[in-house]
Amino acid sequence: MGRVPQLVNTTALANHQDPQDMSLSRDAGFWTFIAADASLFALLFFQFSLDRSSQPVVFDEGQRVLVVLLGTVNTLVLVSSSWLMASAVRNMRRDSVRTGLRLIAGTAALGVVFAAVKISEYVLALRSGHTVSTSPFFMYYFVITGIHLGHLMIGVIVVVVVGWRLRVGIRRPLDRTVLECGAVYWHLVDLLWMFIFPMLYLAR
Amino acid sequence: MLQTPKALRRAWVGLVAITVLSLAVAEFSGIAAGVETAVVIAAAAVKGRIILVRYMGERSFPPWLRVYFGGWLVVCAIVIIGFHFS
Repeated sequence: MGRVPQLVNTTALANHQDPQDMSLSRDAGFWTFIAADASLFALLFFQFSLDRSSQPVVFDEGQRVLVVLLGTVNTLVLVSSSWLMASAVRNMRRDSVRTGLRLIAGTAALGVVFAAVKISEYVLALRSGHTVSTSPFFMYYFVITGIHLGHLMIGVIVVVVVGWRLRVGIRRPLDRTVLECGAVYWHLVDLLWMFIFPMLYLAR
Repeated sequence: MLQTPKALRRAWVGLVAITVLSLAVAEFSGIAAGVETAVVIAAAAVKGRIILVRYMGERSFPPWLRVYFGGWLVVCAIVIIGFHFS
């Protein structure tokens, strides 16, 4: 077992009054990216709702094909992963690196579970003859959840790479920044799903 | 500002509880479709608020981003609910 690395860089800390309050407030580029990403999904929600209002029967028929239980399971998986991720950042900031790494691994594992459930839903839909061209509802279903799944997989890759670097002792200031930006991004993916799930599965 | 472990856990409990309640309203309550939609989307906005404040660390956001996400939650909820009633 190798030496557990310290995440907090002392030189970086010297430039801050409170190591527990090192925010990302100066990273305007990252915040702009987060806002732009949320805007993209807001536009998709708007377009979906607009088209649904003109063809409610078609959308309701499509919605009835979805397995609500699987969507619910994925919602619970995602909120649990966010809890683990927030706890991981907290532990890392407090130099509890070993615990933080376990929580990061748990976050990534739940991300993989989410992806597995989502892909199984795709398989179920495709096997029952519903494709992206079957109806407007399924076009939106595959596009919105597909883009969201892509976001989640990027999050998994970021979390795994940062976790691995910290595990092997690489602890540059950039790793801390990437971890914290990755955490915010992960929570954004969770936040977006909070609307996608009821909009596609529940709202009638 | 860091959230305490207790605050993070309570946020998770709240998110799970609201998710289960939303499912119950949508699948088993038998209320009118429009009302059901309003309830589950409003619940989504509340869950979004919890994630923003407890997990994303909204307090550390720059002011413009706090305003943006506050508006984003409201606008998304109003758009989805509004078109359902249109």
